[in-house]
Amino acid sequence: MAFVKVNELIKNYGSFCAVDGLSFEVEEGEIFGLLGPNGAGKSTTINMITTLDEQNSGSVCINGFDTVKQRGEVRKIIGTVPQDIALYPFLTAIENVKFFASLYGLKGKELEQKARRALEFTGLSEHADSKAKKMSGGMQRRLNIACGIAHEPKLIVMDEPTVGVDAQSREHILNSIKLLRDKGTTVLYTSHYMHEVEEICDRMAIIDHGRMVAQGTENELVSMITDNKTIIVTTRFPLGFDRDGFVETLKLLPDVNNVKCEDNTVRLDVRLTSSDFSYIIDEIRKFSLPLNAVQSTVPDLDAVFLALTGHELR
Amino acid sequence: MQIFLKEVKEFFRDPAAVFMCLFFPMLMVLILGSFLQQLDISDYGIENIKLHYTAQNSDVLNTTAFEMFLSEADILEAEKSTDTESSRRMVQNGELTALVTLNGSDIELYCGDNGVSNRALSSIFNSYQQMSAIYKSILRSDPSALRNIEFADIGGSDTFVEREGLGVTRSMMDYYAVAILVMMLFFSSIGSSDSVREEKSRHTIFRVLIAPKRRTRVFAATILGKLPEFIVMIFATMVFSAVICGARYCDDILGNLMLILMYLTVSAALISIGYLIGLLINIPGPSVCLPVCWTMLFFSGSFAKPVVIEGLSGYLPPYIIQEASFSLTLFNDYSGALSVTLCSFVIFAVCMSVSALIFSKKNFLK
Repeated sequence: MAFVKVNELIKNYGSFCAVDGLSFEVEEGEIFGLLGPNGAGKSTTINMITTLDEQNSGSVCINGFDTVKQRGEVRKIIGTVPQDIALYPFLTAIENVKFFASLYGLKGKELEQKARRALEFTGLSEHADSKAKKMSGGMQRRLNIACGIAHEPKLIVMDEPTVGVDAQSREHILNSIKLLRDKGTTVLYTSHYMHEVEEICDRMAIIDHGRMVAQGTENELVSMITDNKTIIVTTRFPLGFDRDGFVETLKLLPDVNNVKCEDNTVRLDVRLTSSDFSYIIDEIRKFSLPLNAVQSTVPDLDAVFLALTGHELR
Repeated sequence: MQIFLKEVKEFFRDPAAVFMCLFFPMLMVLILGSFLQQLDISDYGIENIKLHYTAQNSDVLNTTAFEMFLSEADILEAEKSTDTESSRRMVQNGELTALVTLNGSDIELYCGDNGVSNRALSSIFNSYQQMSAIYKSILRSDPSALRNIEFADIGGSDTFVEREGLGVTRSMMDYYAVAILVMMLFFSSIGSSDSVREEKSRHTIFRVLIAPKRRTRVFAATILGKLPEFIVMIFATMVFSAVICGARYCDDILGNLMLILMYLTVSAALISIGYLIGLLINIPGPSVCLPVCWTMLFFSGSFAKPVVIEGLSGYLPPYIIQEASFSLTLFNDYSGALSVTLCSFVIFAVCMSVSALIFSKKNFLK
């Protein structure tokens, strides 16, 4: 059974439909990326998943609990890391973490231990007694995460948790999220940074105008816009080399859809499903051509995202 | 409890909040205290008030009694006027404070420009007339009673009776300390009207709202968490004004505890009203509450006594609280303080319930 089950979710604000029949499922222990341009309905969806808002129709179930009918049960098992830093500036790091964790019923030694563990997890142990307002942006982001995970929720909803942080903090945060997943926590993750989603998400969904545009693994999404990957071979063609014959020979190879020769570069469009292309290299070698470089590229998530949601500014 | 403690910690670590609630009232007391202490030391001694008097249509007994009174009053230098027109001119020129005319049993004052002396003269002659009326009343009913008075008991150096327990010396500071406290309670509570917006702008409210806690409990803890800062403010201002500026509140501990309890329930009521306003309107609470509070305080005489309007000021909450405070501190009268405490508690309970209801239903995402 899916840990998060979003079914035909609809949310209207007056005549504006923010979420329009959205459905997706998140399995237990996976990192699921929710992608979409600004105003696509990501935050509205997250607000309904986290019980902050109610849908007009459809349902959201977390671990079998309905977010409207069994709100209390849902709240016990979720943690959130909001996009905006939600901390009390005059409280110290440990006090912030303990305060939010205490709202989930943690007390005494258990509260202290879990709060310390959350700070350690986010690399803030040394700053436990620093006031939140005195911390750098990156540290506040990490503290923001610590506050959302200290009570060890089964589902963590992270809404762009790495906005405005430096590369070191981002790396730490992403590694932490992967660690959470490895421990069995389910993570629902939104971000505008495609490489982040590529790096950590097991599966993802792209939504736009409140509707599901695509969902699946990265490869599945890429395959939606193209079924090719490109192999680029850099060589040096001798004078009088029969390029046309060479191209025709390569085109006859299995899974090769197209071949182009430009200067000293050969570009082969190969079916995405094939992973072993050594036979292509062997064939090129038969022409006694030197292999200066061999490169394989697939369209990245950015390209998929733009292809599915368009290039116009939002 | 966690929310309550968090509110307390937040307050004591926020320099702006501590200044507003703790040091600002002290500063006000200190500045006003030193100013009022200077005012209490009058640079105009009410003594040697020069006046002329004349008697018209007055019998011998009245005239004799009046002349005896004038001669006995140490601060008066009275001479019988030989020419009333000349005396009037002397008053106009400032050579005399007043021309007093005994007309039958009435006393007419023709005064100059010296307001302090004029007020003193009015008081003196008002007292004289009251005493005369009493004596005349005795004369009409039982003249023999007057004959039994031992004249040795009258006059001499004892001009008034001072007895321990009766002669509590009060200064302007006693009034202003109360006025400042009431003013600070109103102004400080304005902050609570913006608490909801502040939590929302810091986004912490969303984290709290999705925690498995009942919203009404979250709300109650937040409001109760604001009370300690008011306790500190009330206590610190009272102690500071008493120790540094010599302000006097009640003479016994019970009275002072009643005063603190009254201020505390007033604070609770004001916080709950502020919170309710903050929940109902989407504009910054202080922009609505501040002008209302300021106007009420202004017409309650908290800033200046002369602006009190008969028939209006008496119904304004700050005025009622001040009156209850004065009744308690000056006359040991608990009735006003008890009424204010009870009313404040009812307002607190009602506003708290309504606010909690709104808080539990409100969609803070909008």
